[in-house]
Amino acid sequence: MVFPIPHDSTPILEVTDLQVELVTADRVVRAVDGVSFRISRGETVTIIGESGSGKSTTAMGVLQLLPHDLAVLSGSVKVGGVDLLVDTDAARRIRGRMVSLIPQDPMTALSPVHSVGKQLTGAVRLAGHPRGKARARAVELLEAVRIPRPEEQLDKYPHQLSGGMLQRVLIAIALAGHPVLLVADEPTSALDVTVQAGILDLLLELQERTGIGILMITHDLGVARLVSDRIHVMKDGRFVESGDAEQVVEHPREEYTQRLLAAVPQLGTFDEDTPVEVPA
Amino acid sequence: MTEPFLSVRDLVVSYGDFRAVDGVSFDIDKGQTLAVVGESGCGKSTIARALVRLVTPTSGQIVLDGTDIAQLGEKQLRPLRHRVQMVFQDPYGSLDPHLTAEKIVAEPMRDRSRADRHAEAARLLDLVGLPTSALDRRPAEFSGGQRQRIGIARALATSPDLLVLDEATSALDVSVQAQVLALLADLQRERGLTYLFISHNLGVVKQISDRIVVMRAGRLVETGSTADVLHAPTEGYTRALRKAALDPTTMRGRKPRDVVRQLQGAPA
Repeated sequence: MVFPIPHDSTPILEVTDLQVELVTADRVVRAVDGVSFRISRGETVTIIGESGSGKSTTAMGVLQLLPHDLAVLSGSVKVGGVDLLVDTDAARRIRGRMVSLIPQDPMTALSPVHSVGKQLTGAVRLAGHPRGKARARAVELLEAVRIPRPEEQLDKYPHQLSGGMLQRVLIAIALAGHPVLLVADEPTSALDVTVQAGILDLLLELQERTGIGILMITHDLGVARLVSDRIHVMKDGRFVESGDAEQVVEHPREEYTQRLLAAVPQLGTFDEDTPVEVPA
Repeated sequence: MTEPFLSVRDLVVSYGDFRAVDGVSFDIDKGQTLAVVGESGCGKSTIARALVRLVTPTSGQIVLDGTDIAQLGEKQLRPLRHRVQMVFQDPYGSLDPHLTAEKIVAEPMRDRSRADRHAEAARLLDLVGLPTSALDRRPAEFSGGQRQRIGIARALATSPDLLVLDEATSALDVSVQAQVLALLADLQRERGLTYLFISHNLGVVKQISDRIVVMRAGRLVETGSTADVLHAPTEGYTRALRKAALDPTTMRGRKPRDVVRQLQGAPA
């Protein structure tokens, strides 16, 4: 089972005026140039942008996963009220516990020489579960991500599972430490569309059940529209437009967003499509 | 009635005991675009490899403008090879990093004089919308979209009739993808090119193709005009694919989980 996130007036994540400067061989690049956003309980906030826009650097900055000697961060990144840029030790304490990453390519994110069970129970033990109960907890987590016959899967190696199953395993690993925030960096870009649909449905369901916050990084407007409460459109390190998901997609104010939307080939409706109403 | 430009009949391609393509037939008329769609492992890239004869089909026919090329040996293929060219998915891995753009585009024209090759490479790079300053630069100095343009210019160097495009825009940002699709449409109109366009993206396929072949596990699931297949798919698998393609403009309400929930239990 996966525990619900407690209700709290403090936002899960509050990023204020974040700047990230990356030191390259011959110059300093300002990859993220003063972005601010917040995520509360039960919310998904998406940063959408094209290659080089700074969206992944923002995510890695939030996770404090950029190399310290090559990246200079300023502004503030507060997780549950604690500023990770001030309390540098806090980043290590919260990563994998309060904040977890779902990586882009499930096919390469796991170690090929260790079984799924070993890698998952490793994460479970890091989260503080005793060795004797780790396997049972691992099975619970695989059930939570809707993997059939979890006991059997634990003994398998990554190459024996499909991309969609591996992404579910990675989500299970991300959930092991009871995080309040998932950072999902293009979590379905490497997957087939029918598999992508299953993973996105799982993320939406986990959020409905637990209230977990999600920071989604994607280049795909369809994915962004589906999962988001709010969307920030990023270009050259800045947010060029921010708003509710419906507003940004249906009534984009900025020319850049309009051009981005116009570039997406439209599929339109098909004979069985009926407009979907959200239940109240 | 005129013969189709390309006619594929009962194509089978096996890797050992595994039938990657299992009895697939389709036609393409001259100057038209046929899209082959499907998910990983459905056999769409193997069809591409068979058409350019990087693999030899196990059985079946590939009739190109009246000649069955399916079982031809290398020597008999040589005079035909220039007529079918391929554009690859990965604009980073498919260009030799040591060569300049000019050399990359000129390479397929080895039978022509040096001056001729130089002039033609410059003309082709101009045709695909690259500046003359591109001639002396190497792949690392170009963006993904520019590299894909170089790949298209190289494919055009032998004046082919048929271009096989294997996920040719999948690695590109949407705005760059839109430019490359527009370029392909222009080239087709101006030169009467025939395209076999392999893609997993139904939106792109809708934009560029006349007809469509849907594949799954090596077999043809459904075929027809692009408009018909995408608007009123008859097969369950095509409908699942259609449903899973997320079009942001058709969604209503906040976090409309119904869009993906109905897909649970869809074909694995």
